[in-house]
This record gives sequence, C-alpha cells and structure tokens, in this order.
Amino acid sequence: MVEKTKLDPITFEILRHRLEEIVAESYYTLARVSGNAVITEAGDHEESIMNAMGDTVMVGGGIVEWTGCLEDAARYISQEYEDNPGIHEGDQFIMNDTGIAAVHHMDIQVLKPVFWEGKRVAWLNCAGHMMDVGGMQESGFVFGATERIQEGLCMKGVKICEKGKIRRDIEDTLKYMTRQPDLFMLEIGARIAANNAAATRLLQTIEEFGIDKVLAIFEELPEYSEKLIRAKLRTLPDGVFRATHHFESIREDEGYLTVKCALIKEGDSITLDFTGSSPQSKGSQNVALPGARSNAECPFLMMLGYDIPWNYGLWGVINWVLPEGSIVNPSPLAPVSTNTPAGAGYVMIGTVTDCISQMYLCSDRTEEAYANGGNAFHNPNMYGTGKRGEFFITMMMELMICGGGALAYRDGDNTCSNLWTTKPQVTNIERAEEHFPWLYLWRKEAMDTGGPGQYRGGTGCTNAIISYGIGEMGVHDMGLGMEPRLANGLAGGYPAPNVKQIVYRGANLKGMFENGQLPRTPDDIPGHREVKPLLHSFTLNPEDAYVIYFGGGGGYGDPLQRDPEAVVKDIHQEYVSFEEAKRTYGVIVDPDTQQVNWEETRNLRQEMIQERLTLGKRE
Amino acid sequence: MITWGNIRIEKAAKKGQEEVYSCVQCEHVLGPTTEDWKKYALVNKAPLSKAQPLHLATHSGRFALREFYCPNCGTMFEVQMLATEEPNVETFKLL
Ligand SMILES: [Zn+2]
Repeated sequence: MVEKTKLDPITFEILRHRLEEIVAESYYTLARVSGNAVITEAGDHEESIMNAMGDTVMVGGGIVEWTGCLEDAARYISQEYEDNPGIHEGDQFIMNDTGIAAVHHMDIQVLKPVFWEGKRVAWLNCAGHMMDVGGMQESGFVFGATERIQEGLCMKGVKICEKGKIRRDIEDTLKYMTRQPDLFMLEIGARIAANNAAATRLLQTIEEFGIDKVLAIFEELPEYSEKLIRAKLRTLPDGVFRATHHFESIREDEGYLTVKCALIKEGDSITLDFTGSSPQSKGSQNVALPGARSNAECPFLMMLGYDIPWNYGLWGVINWVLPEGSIVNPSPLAPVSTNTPAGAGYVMIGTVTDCISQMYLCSDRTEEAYANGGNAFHNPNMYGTGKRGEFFITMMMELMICGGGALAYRDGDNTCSNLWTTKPQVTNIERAEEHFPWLYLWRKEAMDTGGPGQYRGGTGCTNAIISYGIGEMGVHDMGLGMEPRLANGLAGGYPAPNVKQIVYRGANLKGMFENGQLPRTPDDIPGHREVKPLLHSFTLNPEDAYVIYFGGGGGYGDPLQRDPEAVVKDIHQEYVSFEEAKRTYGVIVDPDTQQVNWEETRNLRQEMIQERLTLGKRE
Repeated sequence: MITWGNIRIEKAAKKGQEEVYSCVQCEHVLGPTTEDWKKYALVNKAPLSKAQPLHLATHSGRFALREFYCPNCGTMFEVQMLATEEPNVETFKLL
C-alpha cells in the first residue's frame, strides 16, 4: 500500500491559496472572453475544481446557488461516460440538464478533465447563464411549459471538444437550436478558454509541487472544511427552526405555492427538511433535486460557511429531506425553468436564511442573524429586434441588487447584494444604455421599500426606462412578491413592501425632453397607467414608459422601538416618508424644522401600543 | 440566559420549577417552554397593506401579516406573512 502524503501546514495553505487563484483566473477569463452582458455586467457565472471522481475541492466566487451542483455534472460524466464515449485528454463536455446538475437549463456548464502522465487527476467546471437556449420562450424562462422537454436545449454531458478542438457536428446542432447562435458559440468558447487557462495553472502547480501534494490537498481540504463546520455547529444551540414562504404561481388554477423548511440541528449534525412544501406544480416553478439542494445550500454557505473553504466536505454534512413528488423534488418530467429566480428554488434560499437566523438568534452570536433580503424582486427579460436589425435578448441587471435584511444590531444595507452572489455587480447606466436599446429615466433607492423594524431593512431600487432606437420590445417578467410579502422580517420586524411594475402607455416623453424636462417620479409621467402582474409577458411600445420597484429587505425588531432620531435621519435621506414615519414607526416629525416632536411621538406610540392590546386575541 | 429577540428563555431556578418564556421588555412571564410561546402571545391578523406605502401594496385577502406581541406591554415579538387561515408556524424550539 502506498503511503499517503500528509501536507505540512505551510504547504497546505500555499496550495489552498493556489487553488483559489486558479478558479479566480478561470472566473476572470470567462468574464473577459464572454460577449454576454449577463456574464460581463452581472457576473452570473461560477467556476470550480473537482477531484478525478468529480467531488468539488474548490469553488470561485460567483453565483452561490450553483456551488453545490457543479460537482453533480463531473460525477455524472465520470460515472456514465468513462467507456462510451470515453474521457480523454483534450476533451470538454457540455452540461445543462436540470435533472443531473443545473439549477435551470440556461446555466450552461462546460467541464474539462485534467490529465497528468496519462491519468485523470481533476475536473474543471466553468458555468454561466445564457440568455437563450431555444425552446418555447425567448430567455428560457418558459411560463407556458407543462413538461420539461418543452423548455429547450438539454445537454447531458455531450463531448463538445475532442483532442482540443470543438466538434463541428455538435457546434452546428447547438447553433440550430438557439436564437442567438453566434453569441451562444462565443459563450461556449469562452468557457473552454476559461477551463484551458485553469488547466494550465493546475498543471504548473503539479509540476512545481509534485502530483502527490496536489492530490493530498484535494483530500485534506474537504476534511479540513468538514472539521471546521462540525466544530462550528457544536457551538450553536440544538433545536428545530422553521420557516414557511408562500409565493405566487404562474398557473392561475394553483393560486399560490409554498416552501416549508425545518432546520433540525443536533450536535454537529444538520438536517434540512422540506416536508409540507406544495405538491409538484403543473407549471415551471418546480425545482429538480440538484437545484433544490444547491439553492438550499446557498444560505448555509454564506451564513455558516463564510469562513470555511467551500468544497464537498463543507456541504456534505447536510442531511436532506426533500419529499418526492413535491415542488422541491418533482418527477423527472416536470417543468422547472423558472424555479430560479421566480420559483421554488429561489424561495428555498429565503426559508433556509430564516431558519439559520432563528438559530443564530438563540445563540450568543445574534449578530450573525439577519432578516430576508432580495426575496421579493423583479427580473424583466427584454427582447426584440435590436438597433442593427439583430435579435436581441437580455435581462435587466438590477435583479442583482436588493435591499439587504436588517440585522439584530443595525439597519440592512441599501441596494446591496443578494445572498446568492459573492460578487454582486449591476451594470452602470451608461454601459446599459450602450448595450441595450433603452434609456434610463432614473435608477435610485426607492423610498419606503425597506421592511420596518427597530432596525430597518435596506431600501430597494426603482428604475424607469423607455425603449430607444427600436420598435416594439417584449418584456418577459420574472418576479415574485407582488401579492405576498416575501422578504420576511425577523423578531418583530415587518417584511419588506411588495414589488410593483407599471407601464405608462403613450407617455410620449419626447415632448418633455424637447422642453428640457426629465421626469423624476412616477407622478411626472403622463399616459395611461397599467399595473402589470408578475410572471407575464407584455409589449413595450416606443412611446411607453416602464417603472419598476425592485425589492427591499425585511426589518428586525419592533418598529415602535426604533430610535426616533434614526427615523428622522431616514426622512432626511429620503429612505422613509413623513407618512410612514407616523403610520408605521409612530414618529411625528415637524415638516418645518424636520425634527422629532418628542411629546407627540410618545403619545402616538402609547396609542399604538394600546391599539395592539385592544386588537390582539389569544389563540 | 437565552433570548430570541424580545423573548427570553428562563431556566428553572430550582428543582420542581418550570423553564418559561418571558418578555425581555417587561419581564412578564408568558408560559412554560413545553408549548410554543405563540400560544401565550396576543395575535392580530393585519392586512398586507400595513407597514408599507399604499402605492406598493396589493390588496388581497389570501394572506395576512400575523403579528404576535406581549399581552402585558404590547412589544412586538414576531410578524409573519402567512395564508389567512393556516396554523401558526413554530419558529424555534430548542431541544
Ligand atoms: Zn412585555
């Protein structure tokens, strides 16, 4: 028996950092080669290194929702295709099957095996969102799908590269099946380039340190992560922590859908149990098993694993209960394309966030708890014939920023990051107007969009656009939280307000522009006002204006315990209106002096408490 | 001493006593921890338009904000958005 190499602590750290640098190089290679704005402007991608069997040993930053499922692709190809078609040096494989490894099928993964002296020693995965993958609906978010097969391209680990060259037969097939064939192939090429860059660095590392040490870090790093997470879990209270989130269904006959989560923590073990979630939906908001696990792991990584290297040793400690036939583990035929961001996958993130926060609140680390942010949101996908007569499709990148949830000791961050990305980016407006056929009327933090509490949730963003230089533009809206309030508060804080989208038909702002005027609020926009439901498609004409309120974060604690001076500061900064200061926080601010009227505030708050005691019932 | 927001879990001081939930703000004893503390709180079902600007609110009877607060001092313990008639969700239960 060959003796295993045991790394000394210094070599361990050097190699750990080297692997981090390799995935970072892969991340930035894709970002630079890609021509897809979702990658270059919004950072909608993630890269990883796996061992020869496909288990993840290192992931780069990016879209955390994908972290857990990148290894599912490498494991599948290792198990299924070793003999036929074979896995050889110079090969790369394309995967987007939601039943095997992808959260939704727009997330195209390209995997490269890495060989040393003729033997496979590692896998690399470079994954990123594509704006079109064929199927019934531009964007890949298929509202009308009743079966998974209708949703578009499905690749189960097809060999796209052989002996270092892209296969023409596969390239031609892919181009035929997508609406932006050239962009699609550029994106595949960008992933291949990112993997090649990472492989070069990995091979240099093997040359420098020797294969034994590199294989040793592959083994020791997950062991180290498992040791750390188990130690951390032991310091947290044992208990059952629960959350229930309801969200609107695409299908009118279903009304709304539900994800229920119980986090059971005992000693160093953790179970995520989704019993009680809705039965499988007839529409596309189901999430298949790999995506379900990967989404639910996202808050686990961000809230419990943020100081531990991310690999299978870390998330491998989770025990799962995902009932078969439910919205979080549907049949292999069920449609799933909108599970994230407007379905069960995304909502799982919110429920697990709540459960982990409840656990932290019962511990001596209450500062780690936070209310939900980003769970109510918009993600309009825009498409049509572009300025040069080409088909274009893109998404509005403001999805990437949301109001952060409040913490147990401070307000949530305004227009900050979601829990599902470590490198949040939103296109700057000049770049957006250069890339896309629309002009911004505004993009700003929206008043009264943070969930009220002793500590206020972060404010969300609002923007308004008109199309520019083209005819009709299709809008395919992904969003949740227009009726239910999805960004929950914590420990007495209120959920963030509803999101909203409004089209002003025939606003004809040209005349205003010619007079040197620019609308600053929705009230300045003329035209017929149409509030548009979420999860619908509609058309924007050149004379229309489109106003959107993205989501804020939930609040923490009783809003009647918020420091009145903090409310005044919010008014000064236009985060909170005079009306909401009074109605929700019980704070009276003199409009002339803009100072707290302490006596009236005290009286009003007492009245509001009295009203609570009068209205409240025992169950 | 464990607290969860404005709820405190008071361990039994001596043998024969019960572990209880109490209010952090007024020290009112809610009841033994063998049951969900929500059973001892006052509950109000508020419309979804509460605590948000009316121009953003969608009015529907399907969901409500379920507010749980101290029966003695009125401190808000928890607000949850749930379907109007579904049972309460036991947010935390220590083992
Ligand atoms: Zn009290």
